[in-house]
Amino acid sequence: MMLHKNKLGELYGKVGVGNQTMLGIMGNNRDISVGEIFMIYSQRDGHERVFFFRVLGLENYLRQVDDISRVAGTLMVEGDSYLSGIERNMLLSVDGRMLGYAEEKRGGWKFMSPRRLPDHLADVYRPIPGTSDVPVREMLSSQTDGEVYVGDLQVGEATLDVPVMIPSKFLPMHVGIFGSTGAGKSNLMMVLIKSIIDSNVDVLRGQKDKQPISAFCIDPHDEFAKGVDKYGIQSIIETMDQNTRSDVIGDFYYITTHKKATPREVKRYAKEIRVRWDEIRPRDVYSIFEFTPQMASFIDAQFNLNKEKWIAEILDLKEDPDGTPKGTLHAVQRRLRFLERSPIFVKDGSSILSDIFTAMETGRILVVNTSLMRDTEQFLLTTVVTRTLSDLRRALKSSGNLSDFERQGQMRLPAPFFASIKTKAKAFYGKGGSGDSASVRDPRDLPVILVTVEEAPSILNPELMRGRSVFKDISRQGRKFNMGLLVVSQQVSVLDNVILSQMNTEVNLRLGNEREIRSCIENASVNISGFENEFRVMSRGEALLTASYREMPLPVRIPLFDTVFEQEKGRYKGKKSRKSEKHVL
Amino acid sequence: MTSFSDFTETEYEMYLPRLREMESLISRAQILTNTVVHEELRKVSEYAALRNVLTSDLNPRYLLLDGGLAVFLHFRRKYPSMPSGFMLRELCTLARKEGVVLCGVSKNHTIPFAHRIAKMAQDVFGDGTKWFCLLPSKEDPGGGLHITEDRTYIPPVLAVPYLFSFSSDNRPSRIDFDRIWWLENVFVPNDPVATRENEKALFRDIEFMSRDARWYGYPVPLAMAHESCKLSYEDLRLAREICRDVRIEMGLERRKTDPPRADYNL
Ligand SMILES: Nc1ncnc2c1ncn2[C@@H]1O[C@H](COP(=O)(O)OP(=O)(O)OP(=O)(O)O)[C@@H](O)[C@H]1O
Ligand SMILES: [Mg+2]
Repeated sequence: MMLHKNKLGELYGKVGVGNQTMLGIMGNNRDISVGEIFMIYSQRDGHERVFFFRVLGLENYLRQVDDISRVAGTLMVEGDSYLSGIERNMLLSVDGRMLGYAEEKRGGWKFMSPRRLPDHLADVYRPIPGTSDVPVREMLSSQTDGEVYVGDLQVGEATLDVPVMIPSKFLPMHVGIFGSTGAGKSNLMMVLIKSIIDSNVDVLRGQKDKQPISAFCIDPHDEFAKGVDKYGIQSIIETMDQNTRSDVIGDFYYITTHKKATPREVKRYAKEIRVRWDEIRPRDVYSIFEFTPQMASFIDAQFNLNKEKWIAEILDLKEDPDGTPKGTLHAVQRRLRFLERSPIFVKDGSSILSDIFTAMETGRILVVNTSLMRDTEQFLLTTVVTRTLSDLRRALKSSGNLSDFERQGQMRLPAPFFASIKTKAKAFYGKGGSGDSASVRDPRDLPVILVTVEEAPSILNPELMRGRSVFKDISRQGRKFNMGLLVVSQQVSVLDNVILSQMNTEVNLRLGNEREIRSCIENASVNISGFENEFRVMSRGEALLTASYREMPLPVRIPLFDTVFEQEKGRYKGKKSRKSEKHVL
Repeated sequence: MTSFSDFTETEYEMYLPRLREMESLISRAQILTNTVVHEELRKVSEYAALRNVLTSDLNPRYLLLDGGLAVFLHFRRKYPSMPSGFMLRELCTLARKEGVVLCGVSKNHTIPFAHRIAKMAQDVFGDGTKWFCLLPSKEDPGGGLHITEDRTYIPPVLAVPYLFSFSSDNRPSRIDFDRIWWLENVFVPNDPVATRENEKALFRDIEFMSRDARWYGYPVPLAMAHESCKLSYEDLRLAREICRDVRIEMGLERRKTDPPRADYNL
């Protein structure tokens, strides 16, 4: 199969110098910007290859002029001077990084990290939207495929119709979203939620042989449901027909501290967040506060003594029990006292935790309005949910059949909670029946669970992660349980190394300062050294997607949620779904 | 190839009579060193190219030549001592007929005391002035300059040289015109003012050609021609390599073709 070179885009220049990472190109004097992507067509010994090249620097170049400054000086000083017939000698010298190359193999395109060079003086093409989309999509398919749409491939200031996706099977290997304030994190979250819903719709309609994706999405500014501008997640839900809605959303998707304060249309899909004290474990609080070893051993002792009632008992104590260093009780109470005033953490009454569990085991999206919570409440809620879901899957993973699972669950989870979900859990986890001897399913056949951690540095910092943090385990073992963290942060540098080293997908948005840029580059799952300048000129909604399972760092333009929603609102109605395109080169 | 007889029974045989005739025109045979021959070959090719331009339908107003318009003469018989001299004179005639101004520009002017002339121009007209200066021959009014007394070819026979400078950054250059054309078109007998006006009009054009910032002060057409045909070090290296390969192929002795300084890595 020979590629039509003119389909790559416009002929822009020729390869000058280079090694396998950096290339120098001589090209037409066009309006080129840093960050653009060029393609280099090369054919050697019968191998057709297209190299992808990212512009990192530009320099004006006048052919046959060694000293361009002298010419500029002459133009200045000699007022009557001119440059005759100079246009064709005005070139741009373009430096950049080789991103890798696509090679045709057995009828398909394979993408390789840079380990070859394009031919001498090979032709360089500049992609043009409308012309280059299809070939680029095909050549980069291994780099852009997946279920969760993030945005479109950006080639400089233009965008190609090449959707960039994250494969759902890599979600349990954790995703990071990094960007300074206003970089577009919230908008991206909404786009991701929409993508997850879209993917789930496809799975439900039997168009995708994949597991659905569940997501527990912390929304600290209560923006997702109603959106920032015109549309929000609520708009998607309202656009759905009855069947799709109940299949994809169930009867609620929005959970909040005060249902009364919820707008009317959202209220129909809302539930109040209530978590009982007896559903909290000591590890949950260790994950969000620092405790001295004395305090921790005091808590552990109280837990052993009182089991699920440990919080209530501690808060009721008047004096340090015998053998406890003086002041320990007070210090612990000071940290836990917020639970007494919390509207969501309640001593008794009903709890939403089992509903959350059900939703997460059935491929649902939950938008969690934490705007009226204190930070500690938000963190504790995230922790309790993460720990509960992961402990259940852990119990599943260490069981051979459902009776094993029951034993494991009783051991690992708070008794009242486990009792409330036992029957449901068995229904989700059992393979062929829910009898005790029924074998259990592999977590990888269950929905992928994604839990967002907002303001991540507050809980994923080295101090807390050094202790018995719930997030330490999930960082390392999430993959086993098919459960991943979606870490949202304005900073990278302050996050703990355990989570950073376990993260396999990063969406790097515009960053605040040089230190964050450096941390981001260091943390990225593919080598993006040399991209400093690009981070400096990124605008909102632009991102660099890096993933350990891909060779190429992908510049992505994240669309505004409103835009994608308007374009695709038709897909939520009835049987018909988005036309699947078939492209032939 | 050692003699004309080597041409017999080759495709060049038909040119033999003309070659013989040309040979008879060479009256400086005693000084035909390699360098002189190469120089002569270069000149005749350039003149042939000029001729092609003149006989084409390009109709230029000016035709610029890199180098002076001097013609070396047989010192007794008063005609050109080499074929190139004949060609040049024929070009001059052709140019006059076609209404083309033929100019020979030499960066290396070989005019004694040119720097003094430049200094005087600067003193009189000020820094940065663009100027030209005729070097009159004995026959011209005010001619017979002391500085050229002992120089046979300055001013060149049948040519009119000027020194000029269009940029204070550069040393003055020289430009030659065909004397016959000059007498017909520039010089006005007994009217120095009219003559000066003609000269000014001529140099205004040439000066305008010399304002490209890349080669400020030097005519653009020549600069571009130079850019497009000059040999780079890389070209020379390639030529040496090809030369070496040819020698090897021909079974000639192996001889180092790199410049001697390469032996010492200089
Ligand atoms: N992809 C995008 N394209 C164009 N504009 C965008 C994009 N993403 C966000 N914006 C605009 O930028 C502004 C800030 O976006 P957003 O609220 O998503 O940022 P953020 O990173 O969540 O900020 P914060 O840290 O303050 O929460 C909004 O007005 C939004 O309209
Ligand atoms: Mg935000």
